[in-house]
Amino acid sequence: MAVDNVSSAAGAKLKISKIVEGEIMCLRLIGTIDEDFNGEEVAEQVRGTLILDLGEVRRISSFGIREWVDFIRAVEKKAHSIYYIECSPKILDQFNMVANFGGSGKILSFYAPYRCDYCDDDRRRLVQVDESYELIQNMSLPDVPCESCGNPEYFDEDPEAFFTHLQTQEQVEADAAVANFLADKLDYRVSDAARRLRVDKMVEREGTFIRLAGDLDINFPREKLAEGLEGDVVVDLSAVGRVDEDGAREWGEFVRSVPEETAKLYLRDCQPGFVEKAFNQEGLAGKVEVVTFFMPFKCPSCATTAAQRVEVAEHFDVLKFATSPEFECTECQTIAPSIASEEFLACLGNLIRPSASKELLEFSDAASEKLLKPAGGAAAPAMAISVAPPPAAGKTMGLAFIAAMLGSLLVVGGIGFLFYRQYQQDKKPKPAIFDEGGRFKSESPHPKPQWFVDFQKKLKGAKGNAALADAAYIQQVGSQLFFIGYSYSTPRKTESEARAREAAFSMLVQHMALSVKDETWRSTVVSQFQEERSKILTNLRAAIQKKDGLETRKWRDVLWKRRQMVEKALKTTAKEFTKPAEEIYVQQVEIKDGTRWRFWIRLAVNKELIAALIKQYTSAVEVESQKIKLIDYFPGLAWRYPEHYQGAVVIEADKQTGPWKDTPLNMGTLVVTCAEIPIKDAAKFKEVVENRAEELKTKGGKVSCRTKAGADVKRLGYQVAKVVAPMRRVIYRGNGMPSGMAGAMQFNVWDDPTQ
Amino acid sequence: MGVSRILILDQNKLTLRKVTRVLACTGAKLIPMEDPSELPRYLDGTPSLLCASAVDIATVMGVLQSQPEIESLVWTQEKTDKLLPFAHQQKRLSHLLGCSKDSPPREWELLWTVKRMLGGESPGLGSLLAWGYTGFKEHIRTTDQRDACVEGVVRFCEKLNCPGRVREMFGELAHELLMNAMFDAPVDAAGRPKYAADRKAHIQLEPTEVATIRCASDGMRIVISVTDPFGRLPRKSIFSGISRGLGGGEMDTTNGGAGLGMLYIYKSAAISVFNVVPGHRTQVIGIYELDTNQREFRGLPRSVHYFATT
Repeated sequence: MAVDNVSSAAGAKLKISKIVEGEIMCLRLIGTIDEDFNGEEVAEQVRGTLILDLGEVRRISSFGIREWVDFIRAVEKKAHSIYYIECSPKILDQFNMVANFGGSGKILSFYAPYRCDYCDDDRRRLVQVDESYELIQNMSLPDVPCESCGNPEYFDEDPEAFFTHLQTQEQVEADAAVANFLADKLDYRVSDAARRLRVDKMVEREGTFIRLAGDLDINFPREKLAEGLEGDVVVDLSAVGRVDEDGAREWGEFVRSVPEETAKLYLRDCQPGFVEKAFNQEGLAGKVEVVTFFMPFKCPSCATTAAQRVEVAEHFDVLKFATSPEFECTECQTIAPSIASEEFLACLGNLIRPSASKELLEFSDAASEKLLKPAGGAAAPAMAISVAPPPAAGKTMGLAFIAAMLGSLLVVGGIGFLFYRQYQQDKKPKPAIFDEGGRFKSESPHPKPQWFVDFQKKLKGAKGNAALADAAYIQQVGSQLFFIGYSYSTPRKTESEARAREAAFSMLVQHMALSVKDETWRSTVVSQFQEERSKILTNLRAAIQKKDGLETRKWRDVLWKRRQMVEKALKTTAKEFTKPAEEIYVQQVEIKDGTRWRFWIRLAVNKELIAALIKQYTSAVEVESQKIKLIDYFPGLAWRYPEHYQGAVVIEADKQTGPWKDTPLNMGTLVVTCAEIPIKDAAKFKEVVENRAEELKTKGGKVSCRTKAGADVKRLGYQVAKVVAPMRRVIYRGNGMPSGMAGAMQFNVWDDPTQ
Repeated sequence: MGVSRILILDQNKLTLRKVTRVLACTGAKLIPMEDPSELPRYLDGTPSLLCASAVDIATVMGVLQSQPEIESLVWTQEKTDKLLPFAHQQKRLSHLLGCSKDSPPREWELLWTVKRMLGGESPGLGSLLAWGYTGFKEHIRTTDQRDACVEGVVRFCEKLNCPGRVREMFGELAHELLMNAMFDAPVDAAGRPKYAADRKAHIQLEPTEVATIRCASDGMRIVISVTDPFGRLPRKSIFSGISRGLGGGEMDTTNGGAGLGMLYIYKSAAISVFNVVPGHRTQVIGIYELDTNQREFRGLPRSVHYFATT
C-alpha cells in the first residue's frame, strides 16, 4: 500500500494520509483497497477516536474486503469509536453487501451519485446523515438542478439497495470534539448543533479562564463575554472550529471592548483557523498575548498531518520573523518544517512576547483539565511541544548553538555546562540537578571518557582544516573502527540522542565512501553526493560567519538530508550495521530558558563488516542484453537524492551499440523504476528490464525507466520494434447458425482461433 | 446434447410470441404454450429443452425432477437472486436470463444461449458483440502485469466514454477475474493449489499457467473475459457463492477472496457467462450494457449462464 502516506511506496495503489490531533486520528484513504492493503499493520497506529475518510476509495476487491474486515476488527480493539465520513458509493456498496464491513462505526456522511442525462455527466453530492435522516429513511433523495444545464439531475442508484445499511443505522451525531476536529482540521461541514459556540468560564483567585468551543461566527456573544472581565483572563481556543469573517470581526470587537487597564487577555491553544483570521491588528490589538497556538505540520516521511503546539515564549525570536520553528513528527520523529501558508506565517509577525506568569499558566492548565473532565473526553489537542529551534537567548547563544551543531567545523565550547557523565548504552544517564541560579548541585560520578577527550582534542587541533576535522570523528582500536557523532543542545533528550546517533552513522557512511578505491565508482557515486554534502556544509559555515539569520534554515537542511541519508543506510544495509555497539556520553546543561541536552555517541563497527558492506555497494551487476552495468544505491546518495532510498546506479553503459545508445542514460544515472516497477537494487533492475525486453520482443513497445541525474528527473526509454507476422489466412467460423446456414453470415468472429 | 425440441412456456402471450420467433432461428422443433397444464402432454421421454418464464419456476422444477432428459432455461423480470437457490439445487437449470421489467429476454442472448445448449460450438467472444467491435487481448503472467492490465481495462472504458463508476467497476471486475485465474485456478501435478495460500504474493505463472484476458466493446456493450488453462471452477461454487454473498450476514473469510468473488462478478455484470472445460479451461465472461445507467443497472435482473463441456 501508501503520496504521502502512512504505509506506502511510490506508485502504490492505495495512499493513506493521517491527520492526528490529541486523541483523534483521521485516516484518509485514496485509491484501491485490494490484497496489498495490510489492514492489521495500518491498525497498529490507530488510537483514540478514529475517523475514516473514504471519499476517494475508487475500488475495493473481494480480498481487499477481507483485509478491510481484519482492519476494522483490529481497530475496534484500539479505538474508542469509529466514524466514517464522505463514504464513496463504492464504500456504501460494501456496507450494504458485507454485514461486518464497518464494525461498530457510524457513517456521518456519504457521497450520493447523481447523473444528468442531458449532459451525460456523473456527479456526486455529499449527504450528511444527520441532516438527511428522514430522506434516507424514506429512500428518496431529491433531484437537484444540474450545475451545467439546469435540468434536473437524479440520484443514480437503486435507493432500496443503496440505503440498506444506512436504514439500519440509528441517528448519529459526532460528539463535540470530533465535530471540532472535522470542521477545523478537515474543513468538513458538520451539523449546526455540534458547531454552536459554547462558552465555559471559571473564575479563581489567580485569574479567569474561558473556554470557547464551536464555530466563531456572527453569533459570538462578545458583549456578554466581555462583561465584567478583569484581571488576567486566559481564553482557551483549542476547541474553536471554523472562524468566518463575521466571527473574526466580532472577535476584534470583543478584544477592543475589554478595557486594557482592568483586564489582560492571554490566548492559549489557538487553532490554525483562528490564527489566520484573528492574529491581526484587530484580533490582537497589540495588547493580547498569545501563549500557545497550533501550526499545521505534515511529516514528509510518514505523511502524518497534525497541528503542532507552539509555545510563543520559547520560539518568539523565530516567530517574530514570520518563520516556523521545526517540528518533530510525533509518529516517526522525523524533523521537518511546518506547512503553514505564507498568510499564516505573516500573521505571526503580530505576536507580542508573552509575559504570563508561571502561576497563571499553571492555573490555566488546571482549569482546562477541570473543565474538560466532566465533558467526558473532549480533550484539547494534546500534541507535545516538539520543536527544535535555536536557543532564544540572543546572538551569542545562537552562535554557540550553531557552533555546537557543526561537528567538523567548530570547536565545542561556549556553553557552560556544569555536569556530565559517561554511560553505556544500556545504562540510562542520571540527570544532573541544578539550582535556580544554574549552579551544579549534585556530584559527577564519572570523569569524561577518554575517547571524548581525544575527540575534543583532535577537533580543536584541526583548527578549521576540514580533512583533519573529519579524521577526528573516526577512531581505530585493533579491528574496530569507531565513529563519533554529537548533537546540538536541545530541550528534548530523545531528540538530542537521535541526532547524535545520526551524525555518527553519517560519519560511517562517509568513511565507507572514502574507503572505496575503485576510481569508476568514486567518480560515479562519490562525486554525486560529496559535492552536495560540501555545498550544504559550506553554506552553513558561510551563514554562521555572516550572521545573516539563515543559520536555522541551513542547519535544518543539513539535519534533514543527513536524517534521510541515515534512514536510507539503515534500510539498505546489513542488520549488524543497523545496531552497532555504542557508547554514549551526555551533558545536561541548565541555561536561562531551561534544560538543554547534548549527546556524543561513539559507534563501534568491525572493519570486516565495513569491508563487506563496501563490497556489497561496489559490486556491479551486468545486464548483458542492455549492455550496461549497475550498482546498488549507496546511502550517501541521499545527500543528493533525499527522496530515494533505493534504486540502481548506472556505472557503465555502452553508448555506441547498446539499446540505450540514443538516450541520456549515462554513468551515474540513478534508475528508480523500470516498466513502472520500483527498482530496489541493481539485481532487481536486471530482472525487470530483461523481462520487459523479452515481453516486447514480438509485440513491440517501450522499455521505459524513471531516472534521476542531478536535478533532472527523466523518463528514459527505448523503443522495441514490433515483429510483423507474415500475412495469415483468417478462417472465419460460423456464428452458430443452424447447419446449412453456418458460414453464411461471416461476422462476429473473435480472431483468436482458441476462443 | 442431442436435443431437437424446445418447449416454450410463458403465460404472457406477447413474450411467448417473441421468444418463439427468436428460437425459430435455431432450427429446432418448437412447442410454445401459455398454459402450464399443457406441459405434461409433451413429456414423453423425448430429449427437450424447456424454456420458461420464472413465473412457472415451480412447474419447471417439477418437470426437471421427474424428467431426466429435459434441460432448462428460465427468464425473469424480477430479481434473479430468487432463482439462484433453484439453480443451486438443480443441475439442469444452469441458465438464468434476466430481463428488463415487462420485457422479453434479450433476443441475442436467448438465441446465443439456446444455440449453444443445442450443441453449437462456443462461438467466441465476438459473437456477443456487433460486427466491427474493438478490443484487446493480453496474456498475464505476473502480478505486475495484472495491475497494469487492470489499468488498461479502465483506460479502455475511458476511451469508450464510459461513466467513471462503470470504468472503476470494470477495473474491479478485471482484477477479480484475474485474481481467480492467477491465484485460485493453478494447481500442481497432484492437484494442490499452487498460489492460493498467499494472495498477497508477487507471482510469476509458468508458461502453461498463463491467464488470458480479453476486453472488447461495440459501443453498446462491453465484454470482458478471463480464461485460465485449468478448468477447475465447479458449478456449485458459482451458484452457491453468489447465493451466499447475497445472503449477507457475517462474511466468510475462510477462503481466499472471502467468498465474495462470485458475488462481485454477478453484481458487476448484467450477464455472467461461465464456460468450463473440466481440467482444461475456465472462461468467465462479464457483459455490461452501456446504455444502462447505474440506477437501472442496480435494479436490473442479472443473467447467469454456466456451460460445462467435455
